[in-house]
Amino acid sequence: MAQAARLNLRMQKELKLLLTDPPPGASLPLLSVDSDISSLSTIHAQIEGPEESVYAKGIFDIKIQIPERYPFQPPNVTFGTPIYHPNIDNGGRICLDILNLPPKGAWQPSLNISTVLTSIGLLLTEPNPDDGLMREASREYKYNRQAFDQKARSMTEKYAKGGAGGIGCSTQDVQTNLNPSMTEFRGSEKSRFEVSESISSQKKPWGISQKLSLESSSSKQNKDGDGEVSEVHNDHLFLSAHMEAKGKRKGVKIIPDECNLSRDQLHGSRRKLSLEPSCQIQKTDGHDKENLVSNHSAFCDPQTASAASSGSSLLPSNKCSQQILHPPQTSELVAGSANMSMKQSCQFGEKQSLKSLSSASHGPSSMTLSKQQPHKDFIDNDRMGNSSTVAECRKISSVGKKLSLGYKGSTQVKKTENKENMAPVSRVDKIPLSTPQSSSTNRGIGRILSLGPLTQLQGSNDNNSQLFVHAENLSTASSMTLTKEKQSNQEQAAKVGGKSEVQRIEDLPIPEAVIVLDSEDSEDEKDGGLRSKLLARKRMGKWRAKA
Amino acid sequence: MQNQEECGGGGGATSCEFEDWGSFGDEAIIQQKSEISADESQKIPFVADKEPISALAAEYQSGSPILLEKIKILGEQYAAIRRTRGDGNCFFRSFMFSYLEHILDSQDQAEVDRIKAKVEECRKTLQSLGYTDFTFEDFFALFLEQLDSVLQGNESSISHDELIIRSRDQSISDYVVMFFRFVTAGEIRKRSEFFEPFVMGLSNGTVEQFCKSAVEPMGEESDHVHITALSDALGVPIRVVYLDRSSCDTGGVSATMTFSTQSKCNCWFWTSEC
Repeated sequence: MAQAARLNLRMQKELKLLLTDPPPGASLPLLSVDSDISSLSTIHAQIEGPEESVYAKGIFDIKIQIPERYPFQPPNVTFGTPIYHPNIDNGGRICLDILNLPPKGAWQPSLNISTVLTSIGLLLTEPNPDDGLMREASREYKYNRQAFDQKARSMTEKYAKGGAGGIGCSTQDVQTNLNPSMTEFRGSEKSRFEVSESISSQKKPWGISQKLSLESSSSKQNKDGDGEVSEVHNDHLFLSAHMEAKGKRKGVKIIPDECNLSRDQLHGSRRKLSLEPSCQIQKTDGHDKENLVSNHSAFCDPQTASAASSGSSLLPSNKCSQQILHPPQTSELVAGSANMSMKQSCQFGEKQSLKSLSSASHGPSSMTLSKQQPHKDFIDNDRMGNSSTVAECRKISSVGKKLSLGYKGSTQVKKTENKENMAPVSRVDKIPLSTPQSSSTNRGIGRILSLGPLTQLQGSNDNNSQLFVHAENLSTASSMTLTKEKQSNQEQAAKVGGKSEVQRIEDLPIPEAVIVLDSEDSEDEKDGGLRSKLLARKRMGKWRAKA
Repeated sequence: MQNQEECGGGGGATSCEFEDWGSFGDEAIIQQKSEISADESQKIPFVADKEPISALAAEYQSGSPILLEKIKILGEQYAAIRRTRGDGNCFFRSFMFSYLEHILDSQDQAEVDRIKAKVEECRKTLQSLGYTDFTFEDFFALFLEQLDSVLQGNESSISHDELIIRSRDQSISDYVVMFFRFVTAGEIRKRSEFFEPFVMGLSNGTVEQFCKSAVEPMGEESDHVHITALSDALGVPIRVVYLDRSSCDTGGVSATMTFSTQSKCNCWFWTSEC
C-alpha cells in the first residue's frame, strides 16, 4: 500500500528527529535509531514534569498511537502514568486541541509528534481549567489551587517518580545532611558506589544512596535514644518527601536545608513524633490508610510541599513534623488527605499502600544515611519499606555486601507496640511493610528479613532477584496503574542495564510486604560497621537470613 | 503561461452546508457533520465524472430563474462540469485535477519545468518560515510525482483514466490537497502584509493563526485568500465561476472571478458577463 509506505517513511523521519532532537523533557526510552519502525504503530514516550510545575521531577509515560491516515489524522496520545490534571482524565486521555481534527480540534498535518509532545509539556505547565476534562480537578485548579497542587504533587509522587530517581535524590540529600558521619564510611564504600553508578544511568543518586546506607549503620548505633529515633523519622520523612517531589538535581540542594529545618523542629518534639507514628502503625488497615492520607496532607502544608508527592509512607513522619509545626492544622490536613484519597478513588487506596511502601523505602535509606538519627519508624519502614528496601537491596547488591537480618514476627508485634518505634535498633532492622493490605497480613505472618552487607548481597544475587520478583508480582496484583508503572520502570531499568530494580522498587506496592531494612542488624549497627540496608521479606511466616 | 480554467460550481454548492458548524462546538453537531460527510462521500467521489451542463439545468429545473439563466450562459462557455466532493477540500481538489488534466492534455514540458521551479520556491519559503522538513516534503514529493506521471513518455506515465482513479484515491488525492495547502499557507505567511487586511475580514486572528486554523487543516473551506495565494504561489491563473442568484442591473447573470498572476499587482476582479 502506497500510503502505508509513505507513512513508514514519514515515521522514520519523525522518529529520527525525536531521537536526535527530542522536544524539551521528552524522550523515547524504548526506541533507537535502529528500531524497526515499520512495526511501530504505537510509540512509547516519556515526558518529564516541567520544572516549576507541580509535576516537576515526575516521569510520565506517554503512549502515542499512529493512525493509519497519519498525518491527516492526529496521533492518539494518552498518558500511561496516572496524573492529576484538569485536562487529563483517569484513563489518560488528553484534552488538547491539536489532538483532535477540526472543527473540534486544531490538528493539522503540518504538525508532528515532536510538536505534540511539546504541546503536552506546555499543557502540564499550564493546564486549561476552562476546558477541563476533569471537572473536579478543573474546579480545584481555579478555586482551590493549594488543594490541586497538593493532589497533583501527591499523584506525581506516587506514580511518576522512578524508584531510582527518587531514591537517588533522597539519598543524596541524606548524604549532604549526614556528611560528618558519612565521611567515615565513604572510604570503604566508594568501591561499591562506583559499581552502582556504572550500572545505573543515574549514577550519582545511586552512589549517594549507598553512602547513605553506610551511614545508616552508624545511625543504628544511635538507636538507643527514643528522641533520636523520632528525629530520624522526621528527617527521613522530609528527606524522602523532598527527594521524591523534587528532581534529582534540585533535590540535593533543597532537601538538605529542609532536612536541617525539620530536624531542629523535630528535636523539640522528637518523642512525640515517634510515639505518634507508632500509634498510627498500630492502627488497623483502615487507620493506616488514614495515616497515609494524613501524610499527604502533611506534605502539602509544610514547605515540604515537595514532600507531598513523596506519598503516604512518609506521611507518619510528616505528620509529626507538621503537628509540631502546626498542631491545629494537622487534624484538618489529615481529614483533607483522607478525603483526597477517597476522591482519588480506589486506585489510590492500593496505590497509597504502594506509595507508602515506596516512600517507606526511601525513608529507610535516608535513615540509614542519617546515621546520626537512628530512629526508624516501623510504620514508615513498613509503608515505605518496599521501595526503600528495594533501593537498598540494589544498593547492597551493587555494593556487594549483604546483610541478612532475620526479622522476627515480634518485630511486627513491636510495631504494634509503640515501643519498637521508640527503640531505634529494632526498628532499623525490622522495617515492617505496612501497606494497609500488607501490614495486616504481615502482622499475622512472621516476616523474614534478609539483611546482608552489600558484598553479601552481590554475592547472593539470588536473594535480591527474588525480592524483586516478589515486588513485581505484588505490584501486578495491586492494580493496573501499578503494573503500568512497573512496566515503565522495567523499561527504564532495562535501559539502565538490568538494574531497573530500583525503579521497580517504587512500584512494588507488594501486598506481601517486602521490607528492606536500611540498618544492619542491631549488632552490626552497634559495631559501627558499614552496613547498608537490610532487605526483609515477609513470606508465609518464613524467615530468611542471608549473609 | 497557461490559462487554467475550472468549473468548481458543483462542489461549491454542495459544500455550503458544512460551513461554520464547528463554531457551535457541540459534540452532536460534530458527529452529525461527520455523518453528513460520510453520506456525502458515498454520493460523490472526490472527483466525479463529466456531466453535461444540461444535467445541472435539470437539477435546478424548479429553482430560481436567475440560476437557470446563468446555467444557460454557462452552457454556452463550457461543455461539461465535474462535481467534486464537498468536504471542504473541493477547491484544492478541483485545482489538482484540472491542472494535472491540463498538463496531461497539453504535454507542456515548459509549464512543468516552470511549476517545478515554483514548487522549489515554495519549499524554500516553508523552510524559511520554520516548518520542519519532513512535515511537508512527503506532500511535495507526491505532487511532483504526479506531475511527472502525467507527462507521457516515461515509465510512470499514466493515462487520463488513471489520473481520475488517482484523484479519487484518498491516499494520493489528500496528499496533493495537503501539498496545495502547504503552498497556500506558505504564500500567505510569506506575504503576510499583503494578505493581512483580507485575512482580517475572514477571521479575528493574525495571519499566522489564520493559516493554522483555516488553511493548513484538511477540510477547511477555501476563500478568496486561499485562491489568490495558491494562484500567486504557483503562477497559475484560476477562474472561479459562481452560480448564485445574484444579478446585475444590466442583466448579467453569470459572475466569474479570475485570479491571475500575470500582473504583478496580484489583484483580482469581477467580470460580469453581460
